[in-house]
Amino acid sequence: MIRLLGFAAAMVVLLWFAPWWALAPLGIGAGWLQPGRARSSALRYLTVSFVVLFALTWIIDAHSGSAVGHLLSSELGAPKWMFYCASAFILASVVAAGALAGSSLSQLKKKP
Amino acid sequence: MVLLGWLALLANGWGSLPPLGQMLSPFSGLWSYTPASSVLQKSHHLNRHLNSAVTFQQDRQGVFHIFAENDEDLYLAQGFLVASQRLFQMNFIARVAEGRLSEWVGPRAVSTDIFFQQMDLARAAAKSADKMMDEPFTAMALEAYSRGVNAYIESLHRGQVPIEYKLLGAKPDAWSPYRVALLQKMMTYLLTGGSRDPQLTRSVQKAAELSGLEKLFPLWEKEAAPSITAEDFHVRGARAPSVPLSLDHMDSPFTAGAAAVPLPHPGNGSNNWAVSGAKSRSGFPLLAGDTHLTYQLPAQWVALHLKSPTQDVIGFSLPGSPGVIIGTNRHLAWTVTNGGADVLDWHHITWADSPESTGLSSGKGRQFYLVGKNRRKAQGERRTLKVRGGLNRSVSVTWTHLGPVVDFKTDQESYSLAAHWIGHEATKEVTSFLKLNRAQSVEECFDTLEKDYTAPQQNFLCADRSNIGLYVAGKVPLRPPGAGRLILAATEEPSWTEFVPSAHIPRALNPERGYLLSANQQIYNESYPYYFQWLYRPSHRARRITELLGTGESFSPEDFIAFQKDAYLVPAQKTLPELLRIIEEQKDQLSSEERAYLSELKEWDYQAHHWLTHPTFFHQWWDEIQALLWSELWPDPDLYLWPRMDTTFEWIQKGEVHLAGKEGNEGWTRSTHPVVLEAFKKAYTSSAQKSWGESNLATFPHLLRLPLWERSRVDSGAEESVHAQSGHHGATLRMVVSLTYPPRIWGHHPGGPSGDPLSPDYEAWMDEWASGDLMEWVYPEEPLPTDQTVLSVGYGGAP
Repeated sequence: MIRLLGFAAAMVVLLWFAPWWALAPLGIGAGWLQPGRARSSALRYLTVSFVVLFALTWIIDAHSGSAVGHLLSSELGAPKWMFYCASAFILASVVAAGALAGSSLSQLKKKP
Repeated sequence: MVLLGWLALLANGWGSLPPLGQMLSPFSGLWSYTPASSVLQKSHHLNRHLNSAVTFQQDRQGVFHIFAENDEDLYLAQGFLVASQRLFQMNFIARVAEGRLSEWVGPRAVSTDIFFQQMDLARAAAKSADKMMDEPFTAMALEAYSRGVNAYIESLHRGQVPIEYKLLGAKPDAWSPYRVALLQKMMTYLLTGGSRDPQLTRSVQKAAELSGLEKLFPLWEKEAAPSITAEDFHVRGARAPSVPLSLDHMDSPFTAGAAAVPLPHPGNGSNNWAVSGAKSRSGFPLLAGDTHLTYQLPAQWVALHLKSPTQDVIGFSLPGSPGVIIGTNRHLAWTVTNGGADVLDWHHITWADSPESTGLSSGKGRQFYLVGKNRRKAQGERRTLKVRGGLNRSVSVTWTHLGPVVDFKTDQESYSLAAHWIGHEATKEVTSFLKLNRAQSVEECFDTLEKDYTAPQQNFLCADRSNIGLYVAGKVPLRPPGAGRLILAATEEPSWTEFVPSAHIPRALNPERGYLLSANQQIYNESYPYYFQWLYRPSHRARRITELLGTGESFSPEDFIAFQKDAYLVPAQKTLPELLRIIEEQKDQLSSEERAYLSELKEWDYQAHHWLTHPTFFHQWWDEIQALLWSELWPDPDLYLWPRMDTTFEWIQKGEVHLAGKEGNEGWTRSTHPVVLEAFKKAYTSSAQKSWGESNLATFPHLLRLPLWERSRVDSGAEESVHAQSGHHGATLRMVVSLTYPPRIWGHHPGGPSGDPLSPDYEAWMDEWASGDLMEWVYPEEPLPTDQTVLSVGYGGAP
């Protein structure tokens, strides 16, 4: 649990300072350090990343005074949480794909 | 592999899907978007650049006002404010002019970039920027404006750049006088670059065995509606003989395609008219103008008011350029239409990189070219064109003594043509507009246009409290009628070396009839000895405006606003009765439905209202007539020039087109009346049920062509009516000014004050534009009370 919280915090810090694609090496690193089975490792990080990104997106959109979510939902006729979901899912899948890669690489190394 | 693929997709996009990675990042992407008004309110970046206090305001209608204590601060603030609303737009258009758009949008812009690189607008802009910097006031304005734009760029945090940059993963370019000049060159190209010389050359070559082509492509409109008449103007004289349509100098057919050349819309033009105080209800002159360009979002113009101790001007500004282009101050109002002078000629270049080489080159080498039998050395360089998501391209930019070389290519062949274009001169249009902003009389207006203005040729209509005046500003080549209509040989001398003397440039001041107008028609009549252009635009709009102004005695601003929405089709009035008579003669060949529609057409009042089907049918009928009549000689209207509608109509009235064969060759004959009938039937089948609003939907695409940001409105009007509206092209601003004390101004443009697609101001004025309701603007002498504004910000110590 502590590891996952640490991972989430690292993700927020990384996103603040680095471009969005830095989520990929973060995922690789996490997958490498906590391999488990590759698929379950990817799923775990997908879930955590999704929750963090969804919350970040919601908070930032609401606090920037931008009303982007509102505009998108009025243009496309869908509730704005769906856009937060889609956005968070797309970026979280970068982390998950990274974790899949990291986990697989780690297990490859362990094989004699 | 999954990870790499996913990263590539999010970083580059796929097809019409934009690159989403950067845009979805919570801290720097879409979700950290900040409206420009918030940036303006919170930013203190401008303070350290200012000498004294400046106030920005946006009134409740959306018009911006800037109050400054000196001109330098005024232009600095204008740059800052306009950048806050239109940074991406001005940056984008400057990149188009420079030929560097592929770096942002990828392979789809490569052919346009190659064209503008080869036309070398960048070099022309650099020359013009240098020239403008020689004039102290202009230099101060350009530098201050650029500093203002750059201060805005510096004030943006990472997540605050306009959303388009996030989509493209791009950064704003720093602004400079050179970039202002790039925008001016782009506008010059849009208004003078529509050369049909390659098309006419193909047409003449394809019909080389026929004689009498001059009758199909006449130099003069038979029923012209000139603005400058013999009574207005003192220069008279006989014209030189016309240059025949001959291509003896071309030893091989010009078959290269035109697809790579981004031709400006042929309808680019405008209307303007004014009445003297004697013909206005207020007793003071009244002036109107509307400019017709390709629709786009963000809007082409920014509505704003600039006030300093030396100027107090309100009107329409070009994003990225200081001052106001069309508008009024407390003493003088002005507006422009395109003159259409032929100022772009093409010379055929034959490369001769080895002494034996005299034919068309493959494009390699390009160090020497032939002038007659002599070789001359070209100046050139290869530039690298960066292409986002594709391989970089190498572009050959070559200058001859006749101009830069543009390659017209097909899969098999390459033709090199040197562009002799007025836009390549060092010009200083910005100086003229900045002087107009401060001018106090029509006399001062004429003075700056004569001394400072070069291109694009424009009909400036000016009005002060006592006078109305029209000045045809810009340099016009001095040459015989018809010269430069075809692709020319490479000669020692370019196609023109001198210009019509400035004292002989047409102008009119306070004519007895009490009104002045221009609408892109041939501006002069047969008594004027010089040649400007061969039928840039027909006189339909000018004829209708003349009719509207000629019938009234006392006009109000409301009358002028109504005239701007006048959808009467003069070409329908001129041609439809005769066409219907021809159909009546062949009525037995019509079905009962077609006969019923024929009866309906007879009742049509020639108005292009959006709820009618008749305008749709009328336009389709003419398209079919043109295609049926001319496509046998010239199959593709993009490659070949067809005779204009008014010329075709003359032949229809004669009943037959006959072109005799040259030197024993067979001639070409076509009966016109069966063509009119066949076209009627085709048009009835394809378009008699379509409303004009549906087939002529006013559509405004975003610069990036993203469907989500495109807007459309159903509207009346047509390209040939005063209310010019043809689907993707039409009025991009409308303005009416009454020169009362104080002057009153009404205006709008499609779109809205903001260029930000996420702002409600992006399309705030679309409905007013479609309904034709012009807002009366607030024109305050002092900053407005804050309860009359939606934004009011002080900088540099201002309250």
